[in-house]
Order: sequence, then C-alpha cells, then structure tokens
Amino acid sequence: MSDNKNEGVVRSYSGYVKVSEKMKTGMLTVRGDFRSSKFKTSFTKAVGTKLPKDRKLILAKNNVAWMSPDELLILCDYADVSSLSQNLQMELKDQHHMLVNVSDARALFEISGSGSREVIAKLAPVNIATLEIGEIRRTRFSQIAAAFWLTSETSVSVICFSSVADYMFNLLKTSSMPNSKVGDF
Amino acid sequence: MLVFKCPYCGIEADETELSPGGEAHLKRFGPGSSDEELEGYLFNRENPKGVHFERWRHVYGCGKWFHAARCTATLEVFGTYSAQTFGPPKEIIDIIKSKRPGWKWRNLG
Repeated sequence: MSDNKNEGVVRSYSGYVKVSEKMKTGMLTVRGDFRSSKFKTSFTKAVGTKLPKDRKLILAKNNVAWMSPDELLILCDYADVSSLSQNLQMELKDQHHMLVNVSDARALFEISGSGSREVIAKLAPVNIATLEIGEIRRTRFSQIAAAFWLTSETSVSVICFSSVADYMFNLLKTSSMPNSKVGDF
Repeated sequence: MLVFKCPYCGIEADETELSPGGEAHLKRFGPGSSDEELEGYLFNRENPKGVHFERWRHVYGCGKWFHAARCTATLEVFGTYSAQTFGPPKEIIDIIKSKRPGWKWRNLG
C-alpha cells in the first residue's frame, strides 16, 4: 500500500491512519538563555514569533517548539533555513547562544486519521489522553528518541533523527496496521 | 513502575524515559586527599533498603539531570528536585520524616 506519488512525501502507508514521511523540512536548533529579555527580543525580531511557553509549540509561519529549558527547535521551509539562520545569527551575535542547522539530520512524519492518538499510545510511554493540542512531547518511540505534537484531534507530527527514519516508519506502519485498532481513543 | 516528575520540564516521566546516574550528593575527593577519602569517593556507596537519594537524567526528554528521593523497597517517590544543590531541600526531608520516621541515610535523618 506504499506509494511515492504524493508531492513532498518520501514514503507513505495507509493503515487505519495514514502515515507519511515528509521530504526536507527546515529545522534549526537554538540554545540560549530564555529568561533574558534581550534574547527574547532578538529572537522575536529574527523569527517573527514569541518564545513558546514550557512544553508548548507555536504554530505560525515558522513553527517554534520548546525542547528543553534552554533549547528550541524552529521548523520552517527548507529553502528558508539559511536566511533565517543568518538573521538569527546577526541578532544574537553578542549573546551567548548556539545555533545549528539540523534540517538534514532530522526526519518529519505526519499521521492523520481518527485513531492517531492510539497509534502513538502503542509506541510511547506517554499519557496521551491528557496531551493537549499544541503541546510538544519529547519521548521515546519504542527504542528511539523522538518528539511529537498534535496539530488537531486527528493529526500528529512526529520528528526523529534521520538516521533512524526507517525504524520510525516501520514502527508507525506496524502500529497502524489495518485490523489492529484498539479503539480506546 | 517508577515514575518521576522531571523538575525541569514538569513531565511525569516513566523510568524507561530516564537514565540512572547512581547515588546523589557525593563529595569529590581529588588531588591532596587521603587514600581513604579517595577510596570512599570512588567505591563506597549506600545500598539501603528504604530511603535513598539518586541522580537521574531525563535522557529521552529535556536531557537534564535531576535528583530524586525514593524508597528502594516500595518504589514510593518522595519527590524530585533540582541538580543545582548540595543536598535535598527541606520539603523533601519533611515528607520523608513524616512517612518514614527514624530513617537514616549517610549523615541525614
């Protein structure tokens, strides 16, 4: 049931939900002192959004995800990464920070369909029933590190290292096999 | 199943999301210390049946180290606290005092 016809999709699978691996998403890791108002101002100026609250994700032109008390992940168009990175570098040049383009080191998956929560629940040690839309959760999916967030009740985005993208795709595929629906969510 | 609340990101993290870091609040004895002190620092560890203080790392989450106080016999968690400290905070000690009267751990209790 795999097909590569969809544009911008590396591979996909349709079980009781649809799983697809997205092609080339721009991702920037930013570390710094988020309590500093100078940092906040510079960040907003370059990226166009505020800093997200703890464990939250700001969905805007450039999505900004909270990764840890001193780490953020910016998701943007692949083509915009270098300009965004340069802008941010300029704004933060006299502040303590770290900025890395991790676009090619990460893979992004999208799961859509009713039962998306359940597909995650089968794989990660997360209380998915209480997870809100717009909250990012870093965790493990079976044996690999990953992060995910709900964009709506029926769609989830998952990111992991691209070196383990095959493993992730197979996990999500197995978890969403037809006839394997538990129906708890 | 052991579940700790990470004091840095506030997530109730399952044991499988964490990485154990051994006993907490060890004082380092380096150059200039006696052989006994160095040996103690390297090898002597508490192995209690009951109250214990440990270091854990939220390795699959925010990646931060933190401290946890728990009971090794029942797996009851008394609390977790920041890594930027030399000893457990008073609130944690008070909780342990009320739940395990007469407890001892190194020079605490």
